[in-house]
Amino acid sequence: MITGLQQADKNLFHKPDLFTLFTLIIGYRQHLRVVGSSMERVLKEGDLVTYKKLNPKHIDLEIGDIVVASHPKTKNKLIIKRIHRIYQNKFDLRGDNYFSSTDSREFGLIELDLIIGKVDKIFTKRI
Amino acid sequence: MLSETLTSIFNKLPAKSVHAHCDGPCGVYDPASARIAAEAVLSMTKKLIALAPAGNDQASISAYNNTFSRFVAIKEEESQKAKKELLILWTDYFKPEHLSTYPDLHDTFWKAAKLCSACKVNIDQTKAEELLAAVQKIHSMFWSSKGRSDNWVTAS
Repeated sequence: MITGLQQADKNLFHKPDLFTLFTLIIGYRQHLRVVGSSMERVLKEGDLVTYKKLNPKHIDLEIGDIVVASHPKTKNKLIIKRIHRIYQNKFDLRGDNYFSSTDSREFGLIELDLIIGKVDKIFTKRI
Repeated sequence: MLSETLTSIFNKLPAKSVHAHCDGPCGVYDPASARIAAEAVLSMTKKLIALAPAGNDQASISAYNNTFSRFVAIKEEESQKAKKELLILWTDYFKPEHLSTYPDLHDTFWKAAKLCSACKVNIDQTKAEELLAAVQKIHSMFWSSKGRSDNWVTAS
């Protein structure tokens, strides 16, 4: 296990299992492959993440959640960041790797409708 | 067995990319990082060449082996660091328009990167000096491209 992580982050790490694989294959769950280092140490390049799509009727986002969002300036590009602050339904998204992250410090607050989902599982080669 | 198979499948599972990177370059570049690393490579190379066991007894041999290994490890690490810093300058800072002013830009960087590798592979003071000279040339290109003429000052 990767040491030094918050418990909430540790809980996201899972070992590959048949059930998850099945849900991915039939498209019930969404999965993405991480590119870049702005979310290190939690996420490393090549990690596979699954996420729950946001339910518009029940938004359950909290500070500290890792989310997948559409890039506010580049079409068809997805970003993965952590919710740093929430201001009246606008989200301050930051990378954990402060020195190597393009995030709300640069592109400003993110509207709720740009947030696609919340990361619920991480599959990494490191454990 | 099942676990290994699943891990292998998950590792190879096709997936759309999600970006966790820095897509807005900070624009802060400086060949000083490469210069410090190249200086360290030269320093460690000189120390390795000068290194000899204090005696023929076991303690002296052990001390020699230990120091030798440490020097080699640092030389290896600093060579790699120099290469990384040079590649960042080459691929991120310098743009195609710089080629008209510095037609030998690609050749200079390519040779400098090769010298980093040569310094890792060998204990060769000439190569280490050539690397530092190549970094100095890149230093001059870099600062003149910014319209500045910073002096070449080494730490050692």
